[in-house]
Amino acid sequence: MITVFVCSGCGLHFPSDEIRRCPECGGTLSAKELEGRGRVAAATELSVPPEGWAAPHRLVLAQVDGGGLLLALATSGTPEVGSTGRLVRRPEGQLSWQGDG
Amino acid sequence: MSVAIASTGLTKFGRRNEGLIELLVEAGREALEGAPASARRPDCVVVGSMAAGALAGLESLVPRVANGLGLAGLPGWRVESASATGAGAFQLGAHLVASSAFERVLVLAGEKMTAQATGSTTTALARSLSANEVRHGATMPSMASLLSQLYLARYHLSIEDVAEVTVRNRACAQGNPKAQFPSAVTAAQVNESRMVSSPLRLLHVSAISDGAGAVLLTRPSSRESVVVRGMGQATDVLEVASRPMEPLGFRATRQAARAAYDQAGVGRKEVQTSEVHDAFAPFQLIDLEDLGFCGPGEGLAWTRAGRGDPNGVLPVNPSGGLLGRGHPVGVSGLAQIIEVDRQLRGEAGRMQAGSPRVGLAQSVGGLGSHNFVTILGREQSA
Ligand SMILES: [Zn+2]
Repeated sequence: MITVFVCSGCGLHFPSDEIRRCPECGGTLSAKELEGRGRVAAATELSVPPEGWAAPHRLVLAQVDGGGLLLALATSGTPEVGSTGRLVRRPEGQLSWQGDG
Repeated sequence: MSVAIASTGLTKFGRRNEGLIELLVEAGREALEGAPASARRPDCVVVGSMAAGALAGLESLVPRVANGLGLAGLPGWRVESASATGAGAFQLGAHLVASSAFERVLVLAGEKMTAQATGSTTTALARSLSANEVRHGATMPSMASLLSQLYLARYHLSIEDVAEVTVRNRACAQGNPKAQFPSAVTAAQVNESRMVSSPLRLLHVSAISDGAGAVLLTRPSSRESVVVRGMGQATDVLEVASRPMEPLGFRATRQAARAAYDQAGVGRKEVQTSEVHDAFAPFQLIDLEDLGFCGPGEGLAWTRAGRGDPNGVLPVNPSGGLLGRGHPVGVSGLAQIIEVDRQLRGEAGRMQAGSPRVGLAQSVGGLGSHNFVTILGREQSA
């Protein structure tokens, strides 16, 4: 399960509540628990990892069931666009994509 | 608006030996020396730089520039709007003249990017992203890659198709004496260049660069001049994945364009030359759609039909764009306006594309979180 935050005013969802208020409309954010399952909408691997990160550094945009798009790290290979899997929350706060199979 | 461009200055872009302030002063002197004698002493300065502290180790740019120009005592402001900083500085300068707060405003924008290792520069640029994106190690190229993939998938395009943008812009850059890359490339070269952030390759991505630009703004004279006709800007939700995504593109560009078209009293069909923000090649296709030059998903077909070519119905990036000119991030927005001004004056040299009388510049700040549109016209002022 992962927690996302949904605006009571406009319905936009956010990966964390550190922004406190909805940046779109100023509405309050409510926690929403999601199973975290979804499919990969886009994936990329940086050829040179960012400072402080080990190679390979891969990111995905995952279309999550009931939760819109979420950015996540992909730590086990570059996932195919359209492939299914689930998101988990890392202790450091990032989301991580785990592909099926 | 009652604001005219009196003169401009633009350095050559690329790896430069000079420091940030020297580049800004070079551009500023060119603008002041090109102005009518009566306008050569500005009464205010606006200085734009996205990341002078991180990239050049300098802050407090306004007095440094005023000192460098021999104009200590001049009041001024510094502007930062990420990769649209130059456009933001220009629009603030235009508002200062339009409001009659000042008569002659010298707008400058500069960036010194090559003094740092590429990794440090990439980290500095990524600070314009959301806190969540930075926490995931996202960079401008990786976020641009993800967004571009959504666009390409939506309209059933391939990344190989996008090489068209780089090929056309680099062909135009051959006529630009200030360009970092005044040389043509083929689609094969684009599609075989090294990967930066899959599927974006090196030749899909505008380059780290040094440079500066300057524009002297005044009230219009009775002679025919290039004037500011309309301006718009808008911000958006920082977290890219959380934004409303319909239609797929930059909502902040669409809002900025609407405001600029409304203020200018022109429709997009009256625009006769344009400079748009091609920091990443797919962005140019998105820009064309956001600006209303074509419909959603039609950017590539519109480009392939030659409609944006120098001899097309609406030339796009006849200067070579950011892909050809280079992208000193805080400067590009002002450089675009300078290129449009030169087209409207018929002074663009080998880049000249027809005899336009209305031109548009569009800049994307960050990953579309602070975008600007500026419309200029050549006209007789009252
Ligand atoms: Zn809201």
